[in-house]
Amino acid sequence: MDNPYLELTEEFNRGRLRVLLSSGQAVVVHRLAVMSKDGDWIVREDAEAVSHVLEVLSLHGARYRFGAPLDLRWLAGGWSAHLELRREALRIRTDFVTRPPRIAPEQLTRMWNEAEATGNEALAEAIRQRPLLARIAEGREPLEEALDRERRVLMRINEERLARYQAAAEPWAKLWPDVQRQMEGLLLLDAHCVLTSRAEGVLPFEPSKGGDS
Amino acid sequence: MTEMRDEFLSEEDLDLRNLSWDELIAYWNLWLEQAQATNDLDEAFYSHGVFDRDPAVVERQEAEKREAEEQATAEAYARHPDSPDAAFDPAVWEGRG
Repeated sequence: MDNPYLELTEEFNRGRLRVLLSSGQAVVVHRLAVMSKDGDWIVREDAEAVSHVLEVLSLHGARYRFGAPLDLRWLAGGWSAHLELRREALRIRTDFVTRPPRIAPEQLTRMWNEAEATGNEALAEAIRQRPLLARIAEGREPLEEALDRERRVLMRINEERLARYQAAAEPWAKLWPDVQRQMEGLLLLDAHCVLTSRAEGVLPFEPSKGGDS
Repeated sequence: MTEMRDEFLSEEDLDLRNLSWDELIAYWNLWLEQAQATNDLDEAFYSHGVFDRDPAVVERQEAEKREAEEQATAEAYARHPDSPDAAFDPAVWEGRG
């Protein structure tokens, strides 16, 4: 017995580690909770990895949702790509980034190295070294207050980050219904060509500078 | 007195660690199947990434809503063409089946 997200992860990683299962479904693999019905992956930022993922999705009859193309030019700018496929009664949503928020480049490199070394495809400990936890010795309340403060700061930073992307995506959002109509009925690889060509010049490769994308 | 713990509180979630791998997969798949019930509600939304809603879905849903409202208005006027008050009074038209 297997699970659609684990099977997709296996297919994405056939022959080479290209993706890390992250977020909600990784939380299930770690037996913490079952609370998300969408699949999120961090993709290795190289052309072969992205192309392989796109081919696997194409074989599954996936279609694009509104988002950035699954293309390094946008992914390297912190954008996310979103596709959807049907598997029997299930709607499987697949979300991809190569630059997950709140993870520094060197930390991301370390995660890939660790995953390579351990063969662990699930995102094990996204944020492993948090200096804040050094305050454990001060007792529970000071630690909880510090963690709560940190959480609020991170939420604000994330809101500002998302606002930058959403502002940069406004022209793309206006165009999207028309782009979607143009892609309707096309195979994913053909739709991908339409999508990238329509996105060029409309969806900037990077949103306005000034943050942690 | 039960000690408070920083864990997810649903009974099923707390049990996850004690399930065999096959049981975990079975429960996970069942949960995913049941979660499909909200597909219509979250059709336009995103749980991760930098986008928050799909403009094509929003556009379609707004068009469907407008169409439903126009149809309801037309039906209401058809029932009471000479009396807008009666046409839009649910107490009058709901009882008419």
